[in-house]
Amino acid sequence: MKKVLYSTLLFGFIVLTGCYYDKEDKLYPNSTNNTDCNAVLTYDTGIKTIIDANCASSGCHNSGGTSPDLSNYSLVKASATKITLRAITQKNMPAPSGMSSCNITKLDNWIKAGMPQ
Amino acid sequence: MKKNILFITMLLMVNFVWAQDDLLDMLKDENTKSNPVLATFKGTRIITGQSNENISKKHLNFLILHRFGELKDDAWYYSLLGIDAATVRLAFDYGVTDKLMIGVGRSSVAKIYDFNVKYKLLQQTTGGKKNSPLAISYYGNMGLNTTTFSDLTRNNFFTSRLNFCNQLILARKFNDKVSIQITPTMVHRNLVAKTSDPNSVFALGLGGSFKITRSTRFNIEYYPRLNGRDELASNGKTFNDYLAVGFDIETGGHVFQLMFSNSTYMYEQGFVAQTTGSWSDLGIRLGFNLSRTFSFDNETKHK
Repeated sequence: MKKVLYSTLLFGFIVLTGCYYDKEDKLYPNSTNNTDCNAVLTYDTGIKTIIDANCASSGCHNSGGTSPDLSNYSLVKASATKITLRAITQKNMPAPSGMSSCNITKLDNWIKAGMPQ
Repeated sequence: MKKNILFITMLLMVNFVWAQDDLLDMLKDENTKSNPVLATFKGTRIITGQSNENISKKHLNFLILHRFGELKDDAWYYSLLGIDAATVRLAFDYGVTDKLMIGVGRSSVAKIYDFNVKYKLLQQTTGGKKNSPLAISYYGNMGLNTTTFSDLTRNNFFTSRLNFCNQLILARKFNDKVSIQITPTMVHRNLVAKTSDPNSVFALGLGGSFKITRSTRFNIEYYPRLNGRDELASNGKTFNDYLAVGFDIETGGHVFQLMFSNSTYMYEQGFVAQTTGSWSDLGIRLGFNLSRTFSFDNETKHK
Protein backbone atom coordinates (compact mmCIF):
# COMPACT_ATOMS: atom_id res chain seq x y z
CA MET A 1 0.00 0.00 0.00
CA LYS A 2 2.94 2.29 0.73
CA LYS A 3 4.27 1.65 -2.74
CA VAL A 4 0.95 2.70 -4.20
CA LEU A 5 0.99 5.90 -2.18
CA TYR A 6 4.54 6.74 -3.24
CA SER A 7 3.93 6.07 -6.90
CA THR A 8 0.78 8.21 -6.81
CA LEU A 9 2.75 11.01 -5.15
CA LEU A 10 5.54 10.67 -7.71
CA PHE A 11 3.07 10.84 -10.57
CA GLY A 12 1.40 13.88 -9.03
CA PHE A 13 4.81 15.51 -8.64
CA ILE A 14 5.61 15.00 -12.32
CA VAL A 15 2.22 16.34 -13.34
CA LEU A 16 2.51 19.44 -11.16
CA THR A 17 6.12 20.35 -11.98
CA GLY A 18 6.01 19.48 -15.65
CA CYS A 19 3.46 22.11 -16.53
CA TYR A 20 4.59 24.97 -18.81
CA TYR A 21 2.70 27.67 -20.70
CA ASP A 22 4.95 28.12 -23.76
CA LYS A 23 3.82 29.64 -27.04
CA GLU A 24 5.82 28.74 -30.11
CA ASP A 25 5.57 32.21 -31.67
CA LYS A 26 6.79 33.93 -28.50
CA LEU A 27 9.42 31.35 -27.62
CA TYR A 28 10.92 31.32 -31.11
CA PRO A 29 10.03 34.70 -32.65
CA ASN A 30 12.69 34.46 -35.36
CA SER A 31 11.99 30.87 -36.24
CA THR A 32 11.22 30.15 -39.88
CA ASN A 33 8.19 28.29 -38.61
CA ASN A 34 6.85 31.36 -36.86
CA THR A 35 3.33 31.57 -38.17
CA ASP A 36 2.10 34.76 -36.50
CA CYS A 37 2.75 37.45 -39.09
CA ASN A 38 1.31 40.19 -36.88
CA ALA A 39 3.71 39.68 -33.98
CA VAL A 40 5.78 42.79 -33.26
CA LEU A 41 9.41 41.67 -33.34
CA THR A 42 12.68 43.29 -32.36
CA TYR A 43 15.79 43.43 -34.51
CA ASP A 44 17.46 40.62 -32.57
CA THR A 45 14.42 38.39 -32.33
CA GLY A 46 13.40 38.16 -35.94
CA ILE A 47 14.10 41.21 -38.11
CA LYS A 48 17.80 40.42 -38.44
CA THR A 49 16.94 36.94 -39.75
CA ILE A 50 14.56 38.41 -42.34
CA ILE A 51 17.03 41.07 -43.49
CA ASP A 52 20.00 38.69 -43.55
CA ALA A 53 18.06 36.21 -45.66
CA ASN A 54 16.44 38.71 -48.02
CA CYS A 55 18.69 41.80 -48.23
CA ALA A 56 22.13 41.44 -46.62
CA SER A 57 22.97 38.20 -48.36
CA SER A 58 26.43 37.81 -49.87
CA GLY A 59 26.98 40.07 -52.87
CA CYS A 60 23.91 42.22 -52.15
CA HIS A 61 23.39 44.71 -49.29
CA ASN A 62 26.11 43.28 -47.06
CA SER A 63 29.33 45.03 -46.02
CA GLY A 64 31.41 45.56 -49.15
CA GLY A 65 28.38 44.92 -51.35
CA THR A 66 25.81 47.16 -52.97
CA SER A 67 24.70 50.34 -51.16
CA PRO A 68 22.95 50.60 -48.76
CA ASP A 69 24.79 48.28 -46.40
CA LEU A 70 22.22 46.44 -44.21
CA SER A 71 24.54 44.20 -42.22
CA ASN A 72 23.92 45.55 -38.72
CA TYR A 73 21.26 47.31 -36.61
CA SER A 74 22.47 50.93 -36.89
CA LEU A 75 22.97 50.66 -40.66
CA VAL A 76 19.49 49.13 -41.12
CA LYS A 77 17.96 51.86 -38.95
CA ALA A 78 19.70 54.56 -41.02
CA SER A 79 18.26 53.09 -44.24
CA ALA A 80 14.69 52.73 -42.95
CA THR A 81 13.22 55.12 -45.54
CA LYS A 82 14.79 53.22 -48.44
CA ILE A 83 13.68 49.87 -47.02
CA THR A 84 10.12 51.17 -46.60
CA LEU A 85 10.03 52.40 -50.20
CA ARG A 86 11.46 49.36 -51.99
CA ALA A 87 10.46 46.44 -49.78
CA ILE A 88 7.15 47.57 -48.25
CA THR A 89 5.58 50.14 -50.62
CA GLN A 90 6.84 49.15 -54.07
CA LYS A 91 7.35 45.48 -53.12
CA ASN A 92 10.11 45.03 -55.72
CA MET A 93 13.09 44.39 -53.43
CA PRO A 94 14.55 41.83 -53.29
CA ALA A 95 14.20 41.89 -57.06
CA PRO A 96 12.07 41.21 -58.83
CA SER A 97 8.96 40.49 -56.73
CA GLY A 98 9.72 41.40 -53.14
CA MET A 99 9.40 39.43 -49.90
CA SER A 100 6.62 37.20 -48.66
CA SER A 101 3.60 39.14 -47.41
CA CYS A 102 4.24 37.77 -43.91
CA ASN A 103 7.78 39.19 -43.85
CA ILE A 104 6.53 42.52 -45.24
CA THR A 105 3.98 42.75 -42.41
CA LYS A 106 6.63 41.93 -39.81
CA LEU A 107 9.02 44.52 -41.25
CA ASP A 108 6.29 47.14 -41.49
CA ASN A 109 5.21 46.56 -37.89
CA TRP A 110 8.80 46.77 -36.74
CA ILE A 111 9.43 50.11 -38.45
CA LYS A 112 6.12 51.53 -37.20
CA ALA A 113 7.03 50.42 -33.67
CA GLY A 114 10.16 52.58 -33.83
CA MET A 115 12.58 49.84 -34.85
CA PRO A 116 13.33 48.29 -31.42
CA GLN A 117 16.71 46.59 -31.30
CA MET B 1 -49.58 -44.01 17.36
CA LYS B 2 -51.65 -41.87 15.02
CA LYS B 3 -51.70 -39.11 17.63
CA ASN B 4 -47.95 -39.22 17.87
CA ILE B 5 -47.45 -38.86 14.12
CA LEU B 6 -49.86 -35.92 14.05
CA PHE B 7 -48.00 -34.29 16.91
CA ILE B 8 -44.63 -34.67 15.22
CA THR B 9 -46.02 -33.36 11.94
CA MET B 10 -47.41 -30.31 13.68
CA LEU B 11 -44.08 -29.72 15.40
CA LEU B 12 -42.31 -29.89 12.07
CA MET B 13 -44.79 -27.46 10.53
CA VAL B 14 -44.25 -25.02 13.34
CA ASN B 15 -40.56 -25.41 12.75
CA PHE B 16 -41.05 -24.61 9.10
CA VAL B 17 -42.94 -21.47 9.93
CA TRP B 18 -40.18 -20.42 12.29
CA ALA B 19 -37.58 -21.21 9.69
CA GLN B 20 -39.42 -19.01 7.21
CA ASP B 21 -39.42 -16.17 9.68
CA ASP B 22 -35.68 -16.55 10.05
CA LEU B 23 -35.19 -16.41 6.32
CA LEU B 24 -37.27 -13.27 6.03
CA ASP B 25 -35.21 -11.68 8.79
CA MET B 26 -32.07 -12.53 6.90
CA LEU B 27 -33.46 -10.92 3.78
CA LYS B 28 -34.22 -7.78 5.74
CA ASP B 29 -30.65 -7.69 7.01
CA GLU B 30 -29.34 -8.01 3.49
CA ASN B 31 -31.58 -5.22 2.34
CA THR B 32 -29.97 -2.70 4.62
CA LYS B 33 -26.48 -3.60 3.37
CA SER B 34 -25.44 -1.69 0.25
CA ASN B 35 -24.00 -3.53 -2.72
CA PRO B 36 -21.60 -2.11 -5.27
CA VAL B 37 -23.04 -1.48 -8.73
CA LEU B 38 -20.82 -3.34 -11.16
CA ALA B 39 -20.32 -3.24 -14.94
CA THR B 40 -21.47 0.32 -15.59
CA PHE B 41 -19.62 0.03 -18.89
CA LYS B 42 -18.26 -3.01 -20.64
CA GLY B 43 -14.68 -1.82 -20.91
CA THR B 44 -12.22 0.63 -19.44
CA ARG B 45 -13.20 2.96 -22.28
CA ILE B 46 -16.63 4.01 -23.50
CA ILE B 47 -15.25 4.45 -27.02
CA THR B 48 -11.93 6.28 -27.01
CA GLY B 49 -12.40 8.20 -23.77
CA GLN B 50 -12.12 6.55 -20.40
CA SER B 51 -15.09 5.04 -18.58
CA ASN B 52 -15.25 4.64 -14.79
CA GLU B 53 -14.30 0.95 -15.08
CA ASN B 54 -10.94 -0.35 -13.86
CA ILE B 55 -9.07 -3.58 -14.39
CA SER B 56 -9.28 -5.74 -11.26
CA LYS B 57 -6.31 -6.28 -9.00
CA LYS B 58 -3.28 -8.08 -10.47
CA HIS B 59 -4.81 -8.19 -13.92
CA LEU B 60 -3.15 -6.92 -17.06
CA ASN B 61 -5.19 -5.59 -19.94
CA PHE B 62 -3.64 -5.49 -23.39
CA LEU B 63 -5.35 -3.09 -25.79
CA ILE B 64 -4.97 -2.72 -29.52
CA LEU B 65 -6.69 0.37 -30.88
CA HIS B 66 -7.01 1.23 -34.56
CA ARG B 67 -8.35 4.27 -36.37
CA PHE B 68 -8.41 4.21 -40.14
CA GLY B 69 -8.40 6.88 -42.84
CA GLU B 70 -11.18 9.42 -43.31
CA LEU B 71 -14.08 8.05 -45.31
CA LYS B 72 -14.13 11.09 -47.61
CA ASP B 73 -10.50 10.59 -48.68
CA ASP B 74 -11.15 7.81 -51.17
CA ALA B 75 -14.03 5.87 -52.61
CA TRP B 76 -14.87 3.33 -49.91
CA TYR B 77 -13.85 0.34 -52.06
CA TYR B 78 -10.52 1.94 -53.09
CA SER B 79 -9.02 2.08 -49.59
CA LEU B 80 -11.58 -0.35 -48.10
CA LEU B 81 -13.28 2.18 -45.78
CA GLY B 82 -9.92 3.83 -45.02
CA ILE B 83 -8.26 0.68 -43.70
CA ASP B 84 -5.23 1.30 -45.94
CA ALA B 85 -4.40 4.39 -43.86
CA ALA B 86 -4.34 2.70 -40.45
CA THR B 87 -3.05 4.25 -37.25
CA VAL B 88 -2.52 2.23 -34.10
CA ARG B 89 -2.17 2.64 -30.34
CA LEU B 90 -0.87 -0.25 -28.28
CA ALA B 91 -1.51 -0.07 -24.55
CA PHE B 92 -1.11 -2.00 -21.34
CA ASP B 93 -3.30 -1.32 -18.29
CA TYR B 94 -2.49 -2.96 -14.97
CA GLY B 95 -4.64 -3.14 -11.86
CA VAL B 96 -2.39 -2.40 -8.88
CA THR B 97 -5.40 -2.65 -6.59
CA ASP B 98 -9.07 -2.95 -7.41
CA LYS B 99 -9.23 0.84 -7.23
CA LEU B 100 -5.93 1.91 -8.79
CA MET B 101 -5.00 1.24 -12.38
CA ILE B 102 -1.81 2.33 -14.11
CA GLY B 103 -1.14 2.19 -17.81
CA VAL B 104 1.26 2.91 -20.61
CA GLY B 105 0.56 3.30 -24.30
CA ARG B 106 2.16 4.21 -27.56
CA SER B 107 0.38 5.85 -30.50
CA SER B 108 1.64 5.90 -34.06
CA VAL B 109 0.08 9.37 -34.49
CA ALA B 110 2.77 11.92 -33.46
CA LYS B 111 4.77 8.99 -31.99
CA ILE B 112 3.32 9.58 -28.55
CA TYR B 113 4.06 7.55 -25.44
CA ASP B 114 1.51 8.07 -22.70
CA PHE B 115 1.57 7.18 -19.03
CA ASN B 116 -1.70 7.15 -17.17
CA VAL B 117 -3.37 6.45 -13.87
CA LYS B 118 -7.01 5.94 -12.95
CA TYR B 119 -8.28 5.84 -9.40
CA LYS B 120 -11.76 4.95 -8.18
CA LEU B 121 -12.72 7.58 -5.64
CA LEU B 122 -16.30 6.44 -5.10
CA GLN B 123 -18.28 3.36 -6.06
CA GLN B 124 -21.96 3.56 -6.97
CA THR B 125 -23.96 1.41 -4.53
CA THR B 126 -27.48 0.09 -4.28
CA GLY B 127 -29.77 -1.67 -1.81
CA GLY B 128 -28.52 -0.08 1.38
CA LYS B 129 -30.00 2.61 3.59
CA LYS B 130 -27.36 5.06 2.39
CA ASN B 131 -26.41 4.62 -1.25
CA SER B 132 -24.04 6.45 -3.52
CA PRO B 133 -25.95 7.43 -6.66
CA LEU B 134 -22.72 8.07 -8.59
CA ALA B 135 -19.41 6.45 -9.30
CA ILE B 136 -16.52 8.91 -9.29
CA SER B 137 -13.05 8.28 -10.69
CA TYR B 138 -9.99 10.38 -11.42
CA TYR B 139 -8.01 9.84 -14.59
CA GLY B 140 -4.66 11.46 -15.34
CA ASN B 141 -2.48 11.08 -18.38
CA MET B 142 0.94 12.40 -19.39
CA GLY B 143 1.85 12.26 -23.06
CA LEU B 144 5.37 12.39 -24.48
CA ASN B 145 5.65 13.41 -28.12
CA THR B 146 8.76 11.79 -29.59
CA THR B 147 8.68 13.18 -33.12
CA THR B 148 11.73 15.15 -34.30
CA PHE B 149 11.32 18.87 -33.59
CA SER B 150 10.22 20.86 -36.64
CA ASP B 151 13.21 23.21 -36.35
CA LEU B 152 16.43 21.71 -35.04
CA THR B 153 18.41 24.97 -35.13
CA ARG B 154 16.37 26.66 -32.40
CA ASN B 155 16.75 25.92 -28.69
CA ASN B 156 14.29 23.07 -28.14
CA PHE B 157 13.14 22.06 -24.67
CA PHE B 158 12.22 18.61 -23.44
CA THR B 159 9.18 20.06 -21.66
CA SER B 160 7.78 21.11 -25.05
CA ARG B 161 7.22 17.42 -25.76
CA LEU B 162 4.90 16.95 -22.77
CA ASN B 163 1.16 17.27 -22.56
CA PHE B 164 -1.27 16.36 -19.81
CA CYS B 165 -4.86 15.41 -19.18
CA ASN B 166 -6.87 15.50 -15.95
CA GLN B 167 -10.37 14.07 -15.83
CA LEU B 168 -13.04 13.64 -13.24
CA ILE B 169 -15.27 10.78 -14.27
CA LEU B 170 -18.85 10.90 -12.96
CA ALA B 171 -20.80 7.83 -14.01
CA ARG B 172 -24.18 6.39 -13.16
CA LYS B 173 -25.71 3.10 -14.14
CA PHE B 174 -29.45 3.78 -14.21
CA ASN B 175 -30.41 0.16 -14.89
CA ASP B 176 -29.13 -2.80 -16.87
CA LYS B 177 -29.87 -0.99 -20.08
CA VAL B 178 -28.64 2.58 -19.62
CA SER B 179 -25.41 4.06 -18.24
CA ILE B 180 -24.52 7.74 -18.52
CA GLN B 181 -21.22 9.48 -17.81
CA ILE B 182 -20.18 13.12 -17.46
CA THR B 183 -16.47 13.77 -17.77
CA PRO B 184 -15.12 17.26 -17.00
CA THR B 185 -11.74 17.29 -18.73
CA MET B 186 -8.70 19.54 -18.67
CA VAL B 187 -6.04 19.10 -21.33
CA HIS B 188 -2.75 20.96 -21.05
CA ARG B 189 -0.15 21.34 -23.79
CA ASN B 190 3.21 22.78 -22.71
CA LEU B 191 3.81 24.30 -26.14
CA VAL B 192 1.18 25.67 -28.51
CA ALA B 193 1.70 27.40 -31.83
CA LYS B 194 0.25 30.86 -31.28
CA THR B 195 -0.03 33.36 -28.46
CA SER B 196 -3.81 33.30 -28.92
CA ASP B 197 -3.98 29.51 -28.46
CA PRO B 198 -4.71 28.46 -24.87
CA ASN B 199 -2.26 25.99 -23.33
CA SER B 200 -5.07 24.53 -21.24
CA VAL B 201 -8.23 23.42 -22.98
CA PHE B 202 -11.33 22.53 -20.97
CA ALA B 203 -14.04 20.21 -22.22
CA LEU B 204 -17.17 18.66 -20.81
CA GLY B 205 -17.21 15.07 -21.96
CA LEU B 206 -20.54 13.28 -22.27
CA GLY B 207 -20.89 9.57 -22.77
CA GLY B 208 -23.58 6.95 -22.78
CA SER B 209 -23.98 3.23 -23.17
CA PHE B 210 -27.22 1.49 -24.11
CA LYS B 211 -27.84 -2.24 -24.06
CA ILE B 212 -29.05 -3.86 -27.27
CA THR B 213 -28.65 -7.58 -26.62
CA ARG B 214 -26.97 -9.62 -23.87
CA SER B 215 -23.51 -9.16 -25.39
CA THR B 216 -23.81 -5.95 -27.42
CA ARG B 217 -24.21 -2.34 -26.42
CA PHE B 218 -24.50 0.91 -28.34
CA ASN B 219 -22.18 3.73 -27.17
CA ILE B 220 -21.93 7.43 -27.86
CA GLU B 221 -19.30 9.94 -26.78
CA TYR B 222 -19.04 13.72 -27.23
CA TYR B 223 -16.40 16.13 -25.89
CA PRO B 224 -17.44 19.74 -26.55
CA ARG B 225 -14.62 22.18 -25.74
CA LEU B 226 -15.34 25.15 -23.52
CA ASN B 227 -12.42 27.33 -24.65
CA GLY B 228 -9.86 27.50 -27.46
CA ARG B 229 -12.49 26.94 -30.10
CA ASP B 230 -10.77 29.21 -32.65
CA GLU B 231 -7.41 27.46 -32.51
CA LEU B 232 -6.29 26.62 -36.02
CA ALA B 233 -5.03 23.25 -37.25
CA SER B 234 -2.18 23.03 -39.74
CA ASN B 235 -4.75 22.86 -42.56
CA GLY B 236 -5.89 26.40 -41.68
CA LYS B 237 -9.29 25.31 -40.35
CA THR B 238 -10.39 25.33 -36.72
CA PHE B 239 -10.30 22.11 -34.75
CA ASN B 240 -13.60 20.28 -34.24
CA ASP B 241 -15.23 18.77 -31.19
CA TYR B 242 -14.78 15.05 -30.86
CA LEU B 243 -17.86 12.90 -31.47
CA ALA B 244 -17.95 9.13 -31.80
CA VAL B 245 -20.57 6.38 -31.94
CA GLY B 246 -19.83 2.70 -31.60
CA PHE B 247 -20.78 -0.79 -30.54
CA ASP B 248 -19.38 -3.09 -27.87
CA ILE B 249 -19.34 -6.76 -28.68
CA GLU B 250 -18.30 -9.05 -25.84
CA THR B 251 -16.95 -12.50 -26.62
CA GLY B 252 -15.48 -14.45 -23.70
CA GLY B 253 -12.37 -12.71 -22.42
CA HIS B 254 -12.41 -10.15 -25.22
CA VAL B 255 -14.28 -6.91 -25.59
CA PHE B 256 -14.44 -5.85 -29.18
CA GLN B 257 -15.43 -2.22 -29.79
CA LEU B 258 -16.30 -0.98 -33.25
CA MET B 259 -16.80 2.74 -33.87
CA PHE B 260 -17.00 5.73 -36.16
CA SER B 261 -15.14 8.77 -34.86
CA ASN B 262 -13.92 12.09 -36.26
CA SER B 263 -10.53 11.90 -34.55
CA THR B 264 -7.43 9.95 -35.45
CA TYR B 265 -6.10 10.31 -31.91
CA MET B 266 -6.60 7.55 -29.37
CA TYR B 267 -5.65 9.46 -26.22
CA GLU B 268 -7.32 12.41 -24.48
CA GLN B 269 -4.86 15.23 -25.24
CA GLY B 270 -5.28 14.44 -28.93
CA PHE B 271 -8.96 13.84 -29.40
CA VAL B 272 -10.17 16.58 -27.05
CA ALA B 273 -7.99 19.39 -28.38
CA GLN B 274 -6.79 18.34 -31.84
CA THR B 275 -9.63 16.66 -33.66
CA THR B 276 -9.60 17.73 -37.31
CA GLY B 277 -12.29 15.57 -38.87
CA SER B 278 -15.85 16.75 -39.33
CA TRP B 279 -19.02 14.67 -39.32
CA SER B 280 -20.73 17.07 -41.73
CA ASP B 281 -18.55 16.16 -44.73
CA LEU B 282 -17.85 12.48 -43.88
CA GLY B 283 -14.47 13.34 -42.36
CA ILE B 284 -14.94 10.37 -40.06
CA ARG B 285 -12.95 7.25 -39.47
CA LEU B 286 -13.79 3.63 -38.89
CA GLY B 287 -11.94 2.15 -35.94
CA PHE B 288 -11.87 -0.60 -33.40
CA ASN B 289 -10.55 -1.40 -29.94
CA LEU B 290 -9.57 -4.94 -29.01
CA SER B 291 -8.78 -5.85 -25.45
CA ARG B 292 -7.62 -9.01 -23.77
CA THR B 293 -7.16 -9.41 -20.01
CA PHE B 294 -4.46 -11.59 -18.46
CA SER B 295 -4.55 -12.60 -14.82
CA PHE B 296 -1.49 -12.55 -12.55
CA ASP B 297 -3.57 -13.24 -9.50
CA ASN B 298 -2.44 -16.69 -8.29
CA GLU B 299 -5.17 -16.89 -5.64
CA THR B 300 -8.04 -16.70 -8.09
CA LYS B 301 -6.20 -18.85 -10.63
CA HIS B 302 -6.07 -21.88 -8.34
CA LYS B 303 -9.69 -21.68 -7.30
